[in-house]
Amino acid sequence: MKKPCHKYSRAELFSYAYGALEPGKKREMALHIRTCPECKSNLKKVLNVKFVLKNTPQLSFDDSADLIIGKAAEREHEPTAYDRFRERWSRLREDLGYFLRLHFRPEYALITALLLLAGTGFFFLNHEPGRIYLTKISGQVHVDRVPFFPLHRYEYPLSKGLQVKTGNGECVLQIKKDRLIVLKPDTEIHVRPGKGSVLELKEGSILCSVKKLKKADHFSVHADEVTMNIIGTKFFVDKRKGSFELGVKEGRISTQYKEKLLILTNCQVFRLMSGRISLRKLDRREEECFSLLHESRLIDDFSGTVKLVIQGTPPDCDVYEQYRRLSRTPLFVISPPDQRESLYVVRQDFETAQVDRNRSGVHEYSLKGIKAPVLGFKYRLPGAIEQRPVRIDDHLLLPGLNGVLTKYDIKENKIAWSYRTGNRISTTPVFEKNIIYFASHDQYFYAVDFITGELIWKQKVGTVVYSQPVLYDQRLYFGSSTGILYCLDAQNGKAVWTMRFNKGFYSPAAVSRDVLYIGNSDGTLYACSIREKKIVWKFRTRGRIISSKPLLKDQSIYFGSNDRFLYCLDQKNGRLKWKFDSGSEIFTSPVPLEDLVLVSSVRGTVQALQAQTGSPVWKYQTKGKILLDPVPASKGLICIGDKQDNIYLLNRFGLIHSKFKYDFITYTVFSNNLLIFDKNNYLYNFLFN
Amino acid sequence: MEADKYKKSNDAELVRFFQSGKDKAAFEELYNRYKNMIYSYVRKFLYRTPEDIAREIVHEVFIKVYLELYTLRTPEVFKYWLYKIARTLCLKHIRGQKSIDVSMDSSEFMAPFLNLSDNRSDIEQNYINNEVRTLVFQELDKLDDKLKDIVMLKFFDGLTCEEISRVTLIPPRTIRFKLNRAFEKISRKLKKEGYI
Repeated sequence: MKKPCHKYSRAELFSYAYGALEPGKKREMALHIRTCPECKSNLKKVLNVKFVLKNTPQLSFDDSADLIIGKAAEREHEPTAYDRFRERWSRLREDLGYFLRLHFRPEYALITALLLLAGTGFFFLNHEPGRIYLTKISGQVHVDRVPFFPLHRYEYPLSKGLQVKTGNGECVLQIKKDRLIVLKPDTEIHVRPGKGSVLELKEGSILCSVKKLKKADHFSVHADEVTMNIIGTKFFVDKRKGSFELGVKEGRISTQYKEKLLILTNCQVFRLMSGRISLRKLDRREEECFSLLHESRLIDDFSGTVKLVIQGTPPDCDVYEQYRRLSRTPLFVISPPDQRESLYVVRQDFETAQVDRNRSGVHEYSLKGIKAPVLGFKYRLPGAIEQRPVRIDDHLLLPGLNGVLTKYDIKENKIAWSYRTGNRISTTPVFEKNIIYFASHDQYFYAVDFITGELIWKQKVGTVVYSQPVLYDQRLYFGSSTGILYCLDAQNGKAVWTMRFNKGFYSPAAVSRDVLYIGNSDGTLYACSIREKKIVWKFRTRGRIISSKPLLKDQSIYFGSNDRFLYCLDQKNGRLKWKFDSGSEIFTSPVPLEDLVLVSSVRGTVQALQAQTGSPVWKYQTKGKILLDPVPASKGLICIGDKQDNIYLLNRFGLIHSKFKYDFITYTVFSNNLLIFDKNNYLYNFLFN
Repeated sequence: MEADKYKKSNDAELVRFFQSGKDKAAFEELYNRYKNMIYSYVRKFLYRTPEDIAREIVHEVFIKVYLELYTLRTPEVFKYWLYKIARTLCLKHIRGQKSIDVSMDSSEFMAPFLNLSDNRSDIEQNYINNEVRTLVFQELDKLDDKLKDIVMLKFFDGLTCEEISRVTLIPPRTIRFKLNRAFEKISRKLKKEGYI
């Protein structure tokens, strides 16, 4: 039996029959159909359908042609839209002519023409060719027509020209948008009025930087005998008594001297001294001048503020950028000539900041009333640290990665004792009445004496405990990763009661007034009565609650969930007061800061909210993810570390106080000490005030 | 003799006669030639609208032809020009309607086309032919307006792709593409019912 031919579908045969195919395919198909009997028969059927459809009988329409012609003849005499328009226009013209014939006087025409002429003249005369912006950097600057130069910044229309003379100071002249000229001390310069900007250098030295030039002759500098047409982008001109120097850092400059054309290119200096020309290379000192100009460039955005942008930013210089953005007021550079290392910046509200200009970044940084943190001590630890350490008086409790809890004496700078458990320590230790409580990955719960470092008791839990224990009324409360809520007696470690939940606990609990609040990984926050051992209320969120410790404050409870929201509930009945969308998942605990609540989310945003209403107050964007809880420090500061190894200290208004960059594992703050534990097992202590 | 002259001449000549000086007889001849075709086209296009509205639209088409035929520069394309006018008016009518909410079977609309028999004596063949037409029409009903319009011009009026392009102002390549898509749907249905 012959196989059925599947080469062409019916739809293709239809297309073939109706001539709706591309010519190439049509030819190919015709060849196939000639040989294949099956396709031939199929095509025959299709053609039959085509025939049937084409011969669909037509309906008869029996209105006579006279009817149509009659209707059309009626329609013909109706005025069209164009006719109506013409009629209206002619009527209007007639009316206008009538009006003019009545009221026209030749004086009127004359006055109108004069007014028009005056208007156009006014427009052209008042057309401004551009503006000049003058920014004082330091010292005395005298500006023509402005007897007293009180402001840091001065704006002037280019159409009127300008004369600037610097005394012992410096200033920056910006012509239009793209030409930046630094006037060195003892320099006099005239800016000629007009459309094309021409500078006339009387005496002194200038550093110029031109961003972009469309026409080469649009910008030129005159200095007595020499005229320069600029194609270059960075150059300096120095004119003293009897000598003239012109140097180019970048680009090309053509100059005309006594009918000679000189072309200078990169890093060349042309010198004219008592009628003799010499050429040399740009020396290092002069190049540095340019690099400074390059780094601290003033760009005006024509909105009334002066931005200071440091190009080629070293890794930490973004503090500077931050500072600029946060201040929202113009910044002015006041670089004293003797101190080349650091750059001083003044804000309009007279707060000063000092920024290190070296490539190593910002180290010295001072604001009004606040000094930069100082390194207190540095100590090498015996092993790496996993959990956040605890400080008790002059001692530090360091939960080590290799399962050793170490007590470290800060004053004497030595280890007091260490206690080894079976596996890694999984919780931050809790301290009360000279006893330390903590859990380990070896599935035991430990109580260790603080002074001697001896074991008091240990209790087998059965699973790993990640949730930090809470001590309340001589009892320990914590949840395990299998979903059991434990209540242990702090004296002997015996279980008083347990409660079973469906999913595991990873977040710490909080206790207040005999009620325990804990978030479960099924996304529900449970409020359990400790005495009666029952659930008082529960609140369900859409995401999991992981490692976000509930914050209890003024009858309210605050906690973050993986569904991006920060919730505020009533402590009594668990009713929702407000919730706030933080933009990404929250893994950290909310932190109180005076009347604010701080929430930090995974994408690195720290947001401060009003505790009562939940309305956002400020926002700070860090560079990396935030996975560790922020720690409140003294003086209303807050310490935040992100995954890009930055540690930020923010104040109450969301302004940055300091920033460190260490490849830290964890950090913590005690009063005015910042402790940073880095990946090389070093412990740094910074003091700030 | 005069009437014979009009009967023998083709469309283009008739249009020229009319353009030379509003020759009513020439128009009458053109009208008689195309009235059934245009009426059927309009009925198929607007099969959900009542008969009298379709009739008015046809009137409107021919009034427009009578008034604006002198603007037609190439009389050879008269047929497509006529179709274009009919199509524009039909689309205008559809756009003017707010919503069509008639829950009738498409075969009912097809009824005027089905009751007419072909000029054949074979009753069975006649029945099959009507079935095929109904099926095709039912499938056409599911397509959207613009696609349906193209397929209708192809199936019932037998225009080529280039001619359809002239009527609808869609490039021929696009028309081919759209037609192929419609053919797929229709052929699937016809094959299922066993007609091809």
